[in-house]
Amino acid sequence: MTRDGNRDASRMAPGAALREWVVAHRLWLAAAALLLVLPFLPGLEGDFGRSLLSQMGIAAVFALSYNLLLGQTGLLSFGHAVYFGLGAYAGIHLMRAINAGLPLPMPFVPIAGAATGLAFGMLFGALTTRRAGVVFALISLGVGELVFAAMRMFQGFSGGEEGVTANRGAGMHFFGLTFASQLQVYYVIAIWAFVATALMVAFLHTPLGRMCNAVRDNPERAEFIGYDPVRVRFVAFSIAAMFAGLAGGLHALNYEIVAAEAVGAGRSGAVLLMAYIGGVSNFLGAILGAIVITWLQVSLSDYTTAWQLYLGVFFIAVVLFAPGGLAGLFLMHAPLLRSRAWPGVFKAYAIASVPAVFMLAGAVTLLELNYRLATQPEAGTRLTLFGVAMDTSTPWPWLAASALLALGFYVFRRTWPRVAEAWQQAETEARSPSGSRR
Amino acid sequence: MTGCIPRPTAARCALELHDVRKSFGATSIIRGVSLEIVRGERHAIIGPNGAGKSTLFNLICGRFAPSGGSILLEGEAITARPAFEINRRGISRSFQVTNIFPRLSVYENIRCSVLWSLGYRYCFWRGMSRLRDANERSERTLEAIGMTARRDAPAGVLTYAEQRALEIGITIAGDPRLILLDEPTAGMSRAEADNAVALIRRVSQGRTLVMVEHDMGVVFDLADRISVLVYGEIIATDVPARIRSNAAVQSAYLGTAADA
Repeated sequence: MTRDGNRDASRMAPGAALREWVVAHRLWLAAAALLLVLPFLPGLEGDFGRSLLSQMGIAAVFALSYNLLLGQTGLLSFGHAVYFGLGAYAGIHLMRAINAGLPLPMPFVPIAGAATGLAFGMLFGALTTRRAGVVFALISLGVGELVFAAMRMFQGFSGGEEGVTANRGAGMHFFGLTFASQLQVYYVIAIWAFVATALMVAFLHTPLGRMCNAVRDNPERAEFIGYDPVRVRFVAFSIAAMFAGLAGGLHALNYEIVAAEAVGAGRSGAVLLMAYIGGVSNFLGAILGAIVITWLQVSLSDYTTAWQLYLGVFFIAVVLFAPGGLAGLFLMHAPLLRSRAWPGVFKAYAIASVPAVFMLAGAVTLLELNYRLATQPEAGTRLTLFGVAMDTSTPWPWLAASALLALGFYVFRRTWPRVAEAWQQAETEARSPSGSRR
Repeated sequence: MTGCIPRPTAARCALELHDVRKSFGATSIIRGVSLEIVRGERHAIIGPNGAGKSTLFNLICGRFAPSGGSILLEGEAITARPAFEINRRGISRSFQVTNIFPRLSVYENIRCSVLWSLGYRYCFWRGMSRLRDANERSERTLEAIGMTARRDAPAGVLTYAEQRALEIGITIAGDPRLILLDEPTAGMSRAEADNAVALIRRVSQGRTLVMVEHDMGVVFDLADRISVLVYGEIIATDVPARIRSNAAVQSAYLGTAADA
């Protein structure tokens, strides 16, 4: 009712209508502005930074499409990379056709990826969405293995392990886009990622999007309000596959090479990690997960060869201690910031973080020492960690690291109750009439 | 079986069951039920535990397929059709064990339940906030079940009585012709049950209602006619006053209830 009232008022004053639109879409406008300036921020303005941003954009679309399945429709898939990879192959083959003279603008290559993702999503979705839960998860695993095996069989199409290459710079130049710089690639990816995100969010606010949530919550009851849960799952699955295919098309454009691993289990696992670490119950949390995991994949591997192990531990820690993911952690603190109770909690955090850092340093050192001995004996016994030179053949680094870990853990256990206490106090303060809200 | 009252003519029938049977393996649960529900009446089905009342509901609404017999809604066969199709034709049911969408808000629970009946089907190109008819009907339903104040609460955190009211809200939101209520007052306190009866009376206005209910106070208060189901067979269908005085019913049902 109030909404309609506003609309009537806006008809009288066109300036007010614009202002209302801007206010209603302020987050989207801010996101667009951020995407625009990101490649010029310090640390990101080089080709490396812009390439990292491009990868994050692709991962964000892929992870959001996965959240459409898992978070919104309640379908746990172990084979979502199938649609990403097939979309990527469609993209790379279209790029080769453009290289050979097909008069199509390069920036539209991702559409081929989306169409391919949608087609295969409908094909496999018709078979797999009859059941949810464990059955669906297992079938998705099977389809993933099947498609991966097929990609290795049809070498002519997939190029096998070596992959298929194309050149994004050779073809008709759309609006002067030559893709000579990573900046142009970034902007094409950013625009697609923005559009895809907006479309997915809009989808969630349609009748079918809402019914995806309903089917996730209670498929049986959905039948008794007129909906066929199999049909709802099928459409959601197809749409998720379409956006995964779009991300695949962006991947082809960004790397100019697609290999069989694009449809593989590793990538299916990675997108699950992103969606989960971002926070399954919060749709846009998937973007957060995509950013963090991509950053870890790219930069952690520069520091340590054991980066996958750290990724695994990080994932387990999130599952155990923050089941709402990173988005859940942020949302948990939002009411705190609105009340005046936050300094106490953040002070407790600061105190507890000191022993936590020691504990982590000890654990990391032990891990790295072990990892060096077990997997890289040829690299010798000397290494430098946290700026400290050490020798794995002497007992000292082992003893020091163990002491750090044990002591850090002990003190951390002693300081953590203070955090719980501060939280409790903050909550009572926020609820009491003297609190700032109420 | 229905011979002791004026037989409803087909034109007045909202729902007809003809010799409906259901067995699970070798066990017969429903053993030839024939029943005619008159359009606009409030009809209660009572019977001892294990008589097959809930199974009968499940057959009517399509949750299970009958092993034999036929079911007609307004003269059209709906026997063994899928549940969502039967719902689309105008039968809506509630559940004995609360069956809601726990992570959606109260409002969204109701709004999802009005979508199909307003023709939005699998629409994914229009925003929910623009569906004025769906939003208005949702608001009216919220008001009818007295849940306006709780509209934004996740359904999973409601109290038991609130969830039962929401259960009825979901059932009636799609404006069904025929409502099946499965033990709507089960587990409620006296005061809560009284509220529920008032609510059922309000929302069943102008519709046909069939309910399974254990609370005899509620049954005799609400029902226009009562059918007594014992071991998968209907032993009597009549107006409340005559059911109360029916000897067969007393020995088969009320008698055992009094003993227990």
